[in-house]
Amino acid sequence: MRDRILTLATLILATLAIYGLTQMEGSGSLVSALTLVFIWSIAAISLNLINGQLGILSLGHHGFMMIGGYLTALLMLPEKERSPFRTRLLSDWARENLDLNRWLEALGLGFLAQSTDAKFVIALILAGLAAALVGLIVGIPSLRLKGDYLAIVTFGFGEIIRLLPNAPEVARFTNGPLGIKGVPGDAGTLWWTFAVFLITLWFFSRLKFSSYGRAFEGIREDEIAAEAMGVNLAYHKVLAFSISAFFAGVAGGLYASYLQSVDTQTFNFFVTFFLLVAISLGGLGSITGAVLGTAIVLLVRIYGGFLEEPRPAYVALFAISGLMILAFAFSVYIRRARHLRPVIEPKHLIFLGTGVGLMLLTLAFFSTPFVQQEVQFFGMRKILLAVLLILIMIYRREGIMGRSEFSWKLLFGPREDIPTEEQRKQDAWLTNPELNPDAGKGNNGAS
Amino acid sequence: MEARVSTMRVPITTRGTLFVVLAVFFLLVGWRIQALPDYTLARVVQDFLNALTLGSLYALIALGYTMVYGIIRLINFAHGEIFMLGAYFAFFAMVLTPLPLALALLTTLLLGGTALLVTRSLFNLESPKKTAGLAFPLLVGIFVLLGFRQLGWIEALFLSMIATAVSGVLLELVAYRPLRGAPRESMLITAIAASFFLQNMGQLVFGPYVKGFNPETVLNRPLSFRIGPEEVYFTGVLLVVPLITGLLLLLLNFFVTRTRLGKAMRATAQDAEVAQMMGVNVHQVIALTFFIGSTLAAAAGVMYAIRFGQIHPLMGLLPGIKAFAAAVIGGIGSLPGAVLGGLLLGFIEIYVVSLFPTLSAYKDVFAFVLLILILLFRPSGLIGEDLTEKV
Amino acid sequence: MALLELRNVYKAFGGLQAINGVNLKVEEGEIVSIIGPNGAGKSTLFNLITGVYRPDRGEIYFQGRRIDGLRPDQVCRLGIARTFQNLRLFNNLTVLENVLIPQHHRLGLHWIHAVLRTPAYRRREEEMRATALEKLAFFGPRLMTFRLHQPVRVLSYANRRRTEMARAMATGAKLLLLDEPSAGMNPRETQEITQIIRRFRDEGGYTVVLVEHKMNLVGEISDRVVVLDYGEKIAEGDYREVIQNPRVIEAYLGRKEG
Repeated sequence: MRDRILTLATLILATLAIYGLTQMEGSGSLVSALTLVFIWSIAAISLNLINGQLGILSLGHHGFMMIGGYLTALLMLPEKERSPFRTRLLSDWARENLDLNRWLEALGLGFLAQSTDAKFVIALILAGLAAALVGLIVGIPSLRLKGDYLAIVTFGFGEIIRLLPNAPEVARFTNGPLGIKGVPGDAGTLWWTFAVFLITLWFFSRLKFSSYGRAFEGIREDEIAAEAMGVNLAYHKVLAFSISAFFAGVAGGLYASYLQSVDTQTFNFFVTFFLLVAISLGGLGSITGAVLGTAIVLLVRIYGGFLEEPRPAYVALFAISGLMILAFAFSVYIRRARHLRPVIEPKHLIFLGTGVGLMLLTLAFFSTPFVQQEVQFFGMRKILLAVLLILIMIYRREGIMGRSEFSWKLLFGPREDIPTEEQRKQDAWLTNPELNPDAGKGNNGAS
Repeated sequence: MEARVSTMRVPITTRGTLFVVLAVFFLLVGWRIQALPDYTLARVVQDFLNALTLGSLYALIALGYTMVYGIIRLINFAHGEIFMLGAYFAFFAMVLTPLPLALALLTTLLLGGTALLVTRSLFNLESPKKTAGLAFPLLVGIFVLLGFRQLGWIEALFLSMIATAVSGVLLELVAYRPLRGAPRESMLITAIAASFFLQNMGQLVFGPYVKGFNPETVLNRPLSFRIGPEEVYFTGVLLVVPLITGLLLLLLNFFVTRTRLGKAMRATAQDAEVAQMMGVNVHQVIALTFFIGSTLAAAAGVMYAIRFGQIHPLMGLLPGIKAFAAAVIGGIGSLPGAVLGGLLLGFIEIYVVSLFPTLSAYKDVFAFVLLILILLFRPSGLIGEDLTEKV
Repeated sequence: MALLELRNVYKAFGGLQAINGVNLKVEEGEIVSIIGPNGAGKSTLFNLITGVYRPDRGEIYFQGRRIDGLRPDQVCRLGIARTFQNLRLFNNLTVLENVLIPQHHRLGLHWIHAVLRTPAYRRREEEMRATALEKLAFFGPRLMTFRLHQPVRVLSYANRRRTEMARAMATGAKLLLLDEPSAGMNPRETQEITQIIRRFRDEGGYTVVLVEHKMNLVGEISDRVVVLDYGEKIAEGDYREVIQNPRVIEAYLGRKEG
């Protein structure tokens, strides 16, 4: 009960905060940042179902998002954007018939066509369903393959889906490299994405803490044991893929609305990589972690632009060598604190030496043109993300949250897994033969 | 052996599959050739040369993938970037030399120093005298080359192979060794991260644009010969690539089958734990695997760059993935499999585009489709071993 | 009609004939022990029964129904559950979750019910929890209070074995296949397990087939003992008879020279 009240209170506060945000002056960039956090969180949470909860590494998520994005874009494209020039690669059939308005008219639901919001709801659901269908297909190999082979297959699927829209035959439905421009942006707003985000949270947490969620995690922990305990692996794996793909499709549709366009470059493998970093950082298997990780990674992406501005090369050189020296110091500190011996190994010294050497070299050659030249630090944010992921894999594979979720119990509530004084006494009584004359017989035996 | 596949129910034999695949391929090709009136013998030869070259390049890269996978069951996603580095090192070697002497000295020391540190694990360098004896003339030679000559493509190739090999071992040391013993999915994720890192570092350091790579070499001079009424046009590259590839393969084969280290590699690939118990220094073997794989990738990178006339930091993406597909198709973990897969993929890519021009847009999709099909129906590849799980 | 019947079952792996024409019948309510030297094929037998392997020849019947060739989860649903020689628990999940998962196949509700938390679903959750506690109660209160919510990997070895057995019971099976249930236990714990297995049959109504190496446990608890060697059944019957059977002695100790 207390938990419910707390959750409701948080919800109200969040809604108020968002309302306040929309009313604030000059909050435009913050609003779009938050919108992106919501959109990508949905994608991350959906990927987390497979990679984290089910324990299957899937690398094709960008394909599902692409399907959702394209379908939403096509269905929602308003009349004036459908000019033959703008969509010249589309077949006439596609241009006329892939239009939600058409469908609604045909079904006698023309009145719905008045409301863009209503149309978006339908379009997103359809987009999700289309992605889910493909997710089903992609999930089938998971019945035969495991581990990295399966990961490669999902990667292959993702790439095939990515490459197809450019091919001439498929471009009749996707407008090829030109992409689809002029998608209405109503679903890409803060309120819309917030709503869908909440629905996603609700759905996935309900799923995780249910018998089906447990079944998924059982499959992750030990597939053979799960099967021996009656879990139908095929059904559950395919189910997970489909659900995951559905929400990925929805996220894709939301993103298409946010960008107000979609093309063959919007959803490439970097998207999947980005999501991977997000959920690995946050904690594989944790919904809270997925959101946290997404927020952090997006922060880097959106506000890290300053890193990529042109600067003299020596800035980078000093930064790198400085970081190396700092890393050495940090390593010494950590190893001292954890009583690891030896505190300094040869490889650490080599590392330090390289750092110091680099710094000295930079100083020595300071006035040379090479060191003074303006360098554009192209792709610095991606480099940072890649380094972050490698560090996570090496030093803290379980990420921030590990597998656990945020719950009010964590903060305030009773811990059910730690024995109370009373329980401990009882437990000791049970297992200690001196205290309990029955210990050692029947089911009161030791340990 | 680790589990990758649940019990196979369909009995597909090696010879059978190979036969079927090749038969289908030739039938298709033959049927199509006679259906296209202007597809002359000259074109066949032209395509053959192109396919052989492309296939050789894929084979070289695929070998790197398959060797690493055979040893530590890791799909080195970053291998394509190693390939890219090879091309760039050669580029700089040819374009920037001769270097000012101070710089040449510095580079030599750097290269030598890194190589030394990195290959400490490669060659059991217990006796410093031996090391000095080997290394010193090598370093002197490199210094001379860098400082006094405008390097030709062969020298650049050689230097690039060394530098890239060192980079490959460095990559293993930094990114993969800390994860020895981790679940395979974690290693795969790390490999992906390493790949992204190198791609973007490349863009940062080399610039995110395409650089032309057209050295005035014997390779680039246009040649031709006649077949019937037609001329077959090509450049020297198309002849040299298969030759160099063949040579490298012979060397590799000799190394793997006839030397002690090669035997150690094969033993480690079979069972690393037992190999260790038999006295094999597994660290050394793994480093060596990366060394050799990167050398081959570098050679492929240089020849690819000369063949296509340009380099850019993302050039390793597509060939890398295709070569990986080739390795899987041939049978991952199997050296001849990698070569077979590479050649097969090269031939399919060239001939399909040539014979079915309408399908050329799907050129890249082929590799992925084939990859998925192989993984689904014959994960051990065309000539690989069967893999099943034990409960 | 026997609860479980194996007719002429053969299974080979490559060149090795692991199971060589085994016939076996288990009646309802029996406790049958399968013994034999290492490598005799005992675990393979379990794998065949539970569907992990498919027999090359022969049939397996459960309650009159043919089950060879079925998937492990299908076999489980029909009423056969097993434990594993080397413990295969869901290590990072709690005791409660470990005992709830085997009941999932009896949930009988579509996942939509789970997400929407329909009254039907909530009722089933209650029932499953009650069942979980009921099975854990076999082992006293030790797994039912705070340990219930601890991940099983932090439990003691004996507690993990107990959890695995509770898990097998929670599947709702009629037949329990226990693979070396007392492996790694000290004599006092082994005594306890012996009592518990008997209670499985007496109170829980389970039929139990166990693979065991500890002869005192086997002797005390079995209605019948089956001896396997090199994939063949070489003796069957009462414990006292079987251990005096010269073929059995030879299988364990080797043939006398000369």
